Amino acid sequence: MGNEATPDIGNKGLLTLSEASRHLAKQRLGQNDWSGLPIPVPGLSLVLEPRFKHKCLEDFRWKECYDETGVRHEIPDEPMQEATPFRWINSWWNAKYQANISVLHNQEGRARFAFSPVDRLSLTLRTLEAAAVWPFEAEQKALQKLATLITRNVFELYSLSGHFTEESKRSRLTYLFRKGKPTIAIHQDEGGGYPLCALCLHPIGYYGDTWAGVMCPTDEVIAHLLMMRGSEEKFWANANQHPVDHPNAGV
Amino acid sequence: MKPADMNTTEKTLPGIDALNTGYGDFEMSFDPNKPDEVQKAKETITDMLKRGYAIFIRQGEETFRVRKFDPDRNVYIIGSTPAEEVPIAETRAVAIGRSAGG
Repeated sequence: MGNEATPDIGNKGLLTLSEASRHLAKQRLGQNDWSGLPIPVPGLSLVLEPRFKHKCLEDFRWKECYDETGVRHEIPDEPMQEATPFRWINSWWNAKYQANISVLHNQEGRARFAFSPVDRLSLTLRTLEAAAVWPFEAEQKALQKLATLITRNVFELYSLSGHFTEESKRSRLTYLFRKGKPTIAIHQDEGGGYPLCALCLHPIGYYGDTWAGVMCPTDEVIAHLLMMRGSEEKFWANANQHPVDHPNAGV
Repeated sequence: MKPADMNTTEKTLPGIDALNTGYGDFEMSFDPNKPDEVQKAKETITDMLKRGYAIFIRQGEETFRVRKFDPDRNVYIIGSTPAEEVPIAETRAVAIGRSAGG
């Protein structure tokens, strides 16, 4: 994992990804890595905050893994992307066709368009793959923390449904916080509620084309909740704002 | 686990909890009567703010983001007036690493 990011996890034998996450987090506290280290997942792209100390982890690729019976398997290199003669100009989400539309220019400057449907089921399945890095104990600890931040009734609602709402005292917007999904900002008036957008924000990093962050889901809910309460404008500024009908919104 | 209303009368030691990939949240506490522990807490808070962590504290019913930390007076600064300073010995804070968007 590179010098800065190849901490020796010691003679631990075979570890699951979540066990490795816990060991690395423990080891790196001595180096003031207060948030722990993100763990790359085979087949998923790791996207890290640009100034993160261990950003080189984005380029790490696993070479081998072991199944439950201890049998070693090689992980083939991902195929290199072929150089394209097209240059990306612009792209946007088309709700009618449920696809990303991109405008590209070829070498002569002639415009072409590309049509990329987004598969919601694939997003869900890739998120499940990423969940392998979350230590169960970390999620339990995050739940304990969340329980100190919201009322008992709201915590019970979250435990049962994975969702809860809270109204901002500042903007009067209602936020729907969701486990493992972006937070929905809702404007409410006499006529009802109107979803504005889905706010996607992951501390440190996330796995591309999933809803998964490098931290366990309830940690991300805590981050969203505290940012909304204590720094709502920064929450909006730092989060990616997805249209509610976009698959990335997870609605 | 005992869910309760958000804690406004904490009886635990002061400190800072950092959201952490391996631990959920990693709790760092200090005894305000032990100078070495206070010193370690000051160094941790200073380091976190330098690295861009967002630190949040609770005052009454409100949550505030820490703007600065004054290591000479051991106070979090959450606004521009003296009334908007909170001694680190009187609160538990939560620290969140820089956001990568999503």
